[in-house]
Amino acid sequence: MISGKIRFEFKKQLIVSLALLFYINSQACLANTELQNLLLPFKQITLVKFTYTETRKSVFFKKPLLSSGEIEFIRPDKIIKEVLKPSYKKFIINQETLTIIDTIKTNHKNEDIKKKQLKLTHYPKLKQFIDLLKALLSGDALFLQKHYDISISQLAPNKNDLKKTTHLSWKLILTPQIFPDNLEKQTIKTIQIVGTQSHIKSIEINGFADEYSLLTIDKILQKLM
Amino acid sequence: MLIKKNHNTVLLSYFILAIVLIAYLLSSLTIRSDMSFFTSNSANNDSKIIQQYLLDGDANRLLFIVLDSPKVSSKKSQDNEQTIKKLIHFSHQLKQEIIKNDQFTLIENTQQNIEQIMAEPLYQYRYIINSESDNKKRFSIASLKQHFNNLQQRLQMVTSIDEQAIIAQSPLNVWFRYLQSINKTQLKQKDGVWFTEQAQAILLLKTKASGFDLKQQAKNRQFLEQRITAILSDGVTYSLSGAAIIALENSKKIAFQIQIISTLASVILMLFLFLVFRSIKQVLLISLPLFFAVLAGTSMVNWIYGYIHGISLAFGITIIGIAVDYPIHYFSHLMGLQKTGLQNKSHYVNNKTSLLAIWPKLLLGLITTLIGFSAITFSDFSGLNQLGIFAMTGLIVAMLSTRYLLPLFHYNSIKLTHSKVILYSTQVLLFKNRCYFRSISLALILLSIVYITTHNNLWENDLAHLSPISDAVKSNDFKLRKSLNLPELRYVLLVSANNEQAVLQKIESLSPFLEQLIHSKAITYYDSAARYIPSIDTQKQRQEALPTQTQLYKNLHQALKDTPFDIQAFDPFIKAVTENKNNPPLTPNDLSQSLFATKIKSLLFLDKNNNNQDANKQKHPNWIGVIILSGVNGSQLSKEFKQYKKTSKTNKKDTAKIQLIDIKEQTNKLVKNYRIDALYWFLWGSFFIILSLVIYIKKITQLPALLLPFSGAIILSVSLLLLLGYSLSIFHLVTLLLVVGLGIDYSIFISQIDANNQVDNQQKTINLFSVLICAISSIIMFFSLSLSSIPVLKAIGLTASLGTALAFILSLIFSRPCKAIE
Repeated sequence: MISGKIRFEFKKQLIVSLALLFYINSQACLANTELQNLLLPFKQITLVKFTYTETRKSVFFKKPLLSSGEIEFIRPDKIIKEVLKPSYKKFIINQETLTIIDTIKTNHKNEDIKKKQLKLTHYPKLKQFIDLLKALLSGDALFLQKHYDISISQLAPNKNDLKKTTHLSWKLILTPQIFPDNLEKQTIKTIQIVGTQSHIKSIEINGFADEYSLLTIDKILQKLM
Repeated sequence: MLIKKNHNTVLLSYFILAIVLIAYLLSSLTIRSDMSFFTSNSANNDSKIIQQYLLDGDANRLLFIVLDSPKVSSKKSQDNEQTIKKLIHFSHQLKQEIIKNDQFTLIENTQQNIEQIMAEPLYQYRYIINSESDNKKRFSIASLKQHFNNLQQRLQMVTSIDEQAIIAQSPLNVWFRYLQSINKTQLKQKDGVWFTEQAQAILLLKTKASGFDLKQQAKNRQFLEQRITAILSDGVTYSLSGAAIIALENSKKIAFQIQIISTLASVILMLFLFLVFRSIKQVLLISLPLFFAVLAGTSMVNWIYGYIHGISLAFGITIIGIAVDYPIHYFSHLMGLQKTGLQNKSHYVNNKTSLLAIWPKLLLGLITTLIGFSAITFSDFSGLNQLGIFAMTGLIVAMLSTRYLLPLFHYNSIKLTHSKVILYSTQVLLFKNRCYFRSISLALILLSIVYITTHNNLWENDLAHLSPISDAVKSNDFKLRKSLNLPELRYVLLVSANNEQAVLQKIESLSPFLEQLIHSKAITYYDSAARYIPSIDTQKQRQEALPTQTQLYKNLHQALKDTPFDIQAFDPFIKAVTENKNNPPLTPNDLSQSLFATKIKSLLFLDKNNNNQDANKQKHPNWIGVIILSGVNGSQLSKEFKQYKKTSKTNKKDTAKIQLIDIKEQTNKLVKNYRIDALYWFLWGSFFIILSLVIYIKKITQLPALLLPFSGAIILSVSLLLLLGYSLSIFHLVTLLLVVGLGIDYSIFISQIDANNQVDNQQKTINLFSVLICAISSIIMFFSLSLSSIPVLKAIGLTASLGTALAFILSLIFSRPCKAIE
């Protein structure tokens, strides 16, 4: 009688464990498939150019620092960022090289162009962000899965959109691996990407030390599939 | 009964002696494997400074870990990237593991951790130590604007708490630029890891222990190997390099070869001795005097010096191999006695009679050998001193053991006729001494003297030729050092003055010349103490140029006026600059906790051997500054240095001296002096040996019989070594002392010169028989050693085996009367 009870308990435990395992596994697969589905439309893009606004908050700034300009992505790995405000600056990222083009106003109302080339490998944080941007714009789900924990949620459609013409928005939350003993050295807490179908609306980065950066994509200027 | 009681007492005393010596050695034996074997009390000052620098210096404390993956050569760029990532991951993981062990004072794969930087005493003085720019210019409004503009660009990326702290304290990035200036490397960096052209990841470590402290370095290597193998996977391989690793490999190789060779040679020797004496007991007892000799020799040296050099120990054991001859002579004569049927009822009386019959000869052999070795104890080189003491103590103890211990044992009666082949050879050798052999030998000796004196490469002064390190290992280490701009241990500039500040000032005044050397490609990099700790004068000048707190606040306020920066966030920066301005100047004593402490200590030190006196005979301390030069073009450097010395106007008040030193040349000079010293004492030793022989024989006409065998053997051995393409080193010379000992021993036994002058044919046969056994035994041991691939072992083995064979042959020719052909 007693042994029968034990056997029953054991069976119950086993079933619960297996069920839990299957659930976790299926959730992971679900997340993977969901991410791949989410990024599928980006895979077809060969060129995209858009305008952006960037808000940067830091303990070193009196108020949020605003900048705006244009970003162009050419598959597989070229990104051109032109900062138009507050002052002109152009960044060209081609494979592992970053070229910075700066214009400096001279005394005679002329402009001097200064060009500087850097190896991205020397700037690991910048490289990390560029790799993320490239992965998003080219729909590289594998890259994101490898480097971040992923959570996807669907957002309610805009209430003002009475005609319901817009697609359903999504929110992708990326969390890098966090080492609790080493928080002082870690930079990024979470990255939140909001988008609709093949269009990214914003990339928000939350840092550990009240550091914050928000890149909002305003208008698509060009898109080639 | 009483005799038996006495015997037991002697046996017990020897047993207790062995136990006491073993216990003493186990508790306090210190074997040193460093360069100090070559240190001398009378070497010139430059050599001593170089010795001090090489012993205490940073260069020999550096170790490298090279991580490599075979997949890197794959053509697929994706595979390569994966492999590189793997190497980066392993490199960081290893760094985290090694950092836990306090035996490593520095672990770098590229730059230091932020915690290390913040705790670094030099960081607190960053605006004083950095020579990169003038402080007045650096803190001007325009310069601050430029720096903060760059910072704004850097701050586009979010930062960590650690980074925020360092930006707030040091927004001008002065410290990182300083670190870059002292860590100039040709290596590529990927994700904080150094990579070579061949995509190998490099980690640089510095050990607390000196590179020559092989005991600790062996522990360090074991620790590293354990950690590395636990971490690495996926086919990633590793290799270790550095002076200590090479030294360990070296000693391992020597130990391995000695083990193999000595085991093989011992087995052959034991078989041979068994064939002769037909008794395992006797074979074992033959090694007993040698066992006591090694124990006593090592204990004596350790007791006098507090340590023994590894080279003295290994070399000492080899050269007191002669101690095996004493029991062989004894047992041979014991057999002879048995053959003559003179056995007494008591085995002890038999044993003693037999021993006393040869005792005067053994004693003369011992005394002359002792005289030879006593000469080297007067040498200025501690290695030779130890060797002399070791050999003398060992030989006396071996002789005492033969005299008082061996007769106590009972030996079964074995007849000389058992060793038929040897006995037959003895008979042949005994009757075939023709006078023309002497003429031929003398002619050969004379020819050899001419050959030796006219030979161009008689002496080997380059220590590198005696090193067992392969060229591939050397060049690999050289490449790694070069890629990290680490000292190559070849050229240095020495600056000396009466105080450390004068040395630092002189080094600072040399900066334009050193920069010129880089410009003209005579060198690629230089390092000196002034890079880490400027002279107090320079520090004061830089402090004066720093703005006051109010001035800096005003300038910063002005510079940040139209920027998004919040000036309050940079309060730590204003505080740090103010502290730099008001702090007392930094001295080397303030840097005992610095990561650079050992480096500074090796680049700026008080000359311990200084004899600097002025006219009033007052002794001045002499401070030495070492400027290490890397990537040197030797001839270009010497040319420009000569030019500099010519053109630089010397200020009369400036007492500092500057010298360009070629370490290789200096070390070779040291080795040369060592060899000259050894030769000097070798000649003195030979003189005293001849003197003692003259006293012994009392007739000058008998002298050639004892003198010619060993002197001829030395001359012929040297010429044969030269003919075989070798040059003579210190190791050959000391081995020749052994040949002197053996030569005298052989000629005493073979010659007819005896205290009583009553030598019959039977005695002659026994004498020759015992010498033949001794010679064959020595040749077996030494010839095996000459088969080694390690140059030092080969030198000893070849010299000793050639010398033994020649000493034996010449003893046969010169120590007995010859017969002309009828």
